[in-house]
Amino acid sequence: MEITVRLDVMLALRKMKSRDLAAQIGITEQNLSLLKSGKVKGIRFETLAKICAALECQPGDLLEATLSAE
Amino acid sequence: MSTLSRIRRHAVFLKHCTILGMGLALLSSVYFTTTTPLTVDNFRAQYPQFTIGAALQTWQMILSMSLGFLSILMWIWLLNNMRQLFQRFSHGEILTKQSANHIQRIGLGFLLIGLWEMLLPPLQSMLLTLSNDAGQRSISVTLNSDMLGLLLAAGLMTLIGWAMGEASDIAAENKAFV
Repeated sequence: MEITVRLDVMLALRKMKSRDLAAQIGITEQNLSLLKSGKVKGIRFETLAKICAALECQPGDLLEATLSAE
Repeated sequence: MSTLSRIRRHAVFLKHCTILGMGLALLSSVYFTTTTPLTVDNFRAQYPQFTIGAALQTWQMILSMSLGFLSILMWIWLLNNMRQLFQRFSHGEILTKQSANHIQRIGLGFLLIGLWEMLLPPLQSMLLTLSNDAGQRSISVTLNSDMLGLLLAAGLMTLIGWAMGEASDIAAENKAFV
């Protein structure tokens, strides 16, 4: 089982640019890009809460547990 | 003023102090070597605790001085590690593996200097009294609070180095979180 970040889907649904979201929640575009690509070890609750507030969604809309290929 | 900026400011000052210390150690060694003639009288004055005979050979004097300079070289190595640590601190690199390694090396330096300070008097006394007649040769063993202080500092710095290593691992993990 692995966790997939579906931030790009939510951004597309809300028609919001990564740059705007990064500015709104106070993290760098580089970190947001890493988060979108799932190349981070984890996400702080604080960041998750800010993203949910900005995109008006629930954490479950951003994260999905999927069966890994292994 | 934040703790980080305070660390940076003090680190810059301490870095300059270590550079000054290294320079002074090096200059005093060069000055001592170039101005002190290798004579038995000079060695008697320098080591009054040993009974140095008139038959002292030049090679014994040179070797004895070289052993003393090893101690200065160790101090310079230690000060250089301190300089590198303060350099990293002045750039804000505090909880990093490299800083932890420098602290561990400083601990190792204190340990080596402490042990060398214990070994030096027996070695020098043996060397400088080697040409004496039988019965007048001696080996001097000394233990003082400075040596014990250095060994305690070695233990302390090594432990802090290990703790900093752990802290740098946690800091690196924390950085991987968004």
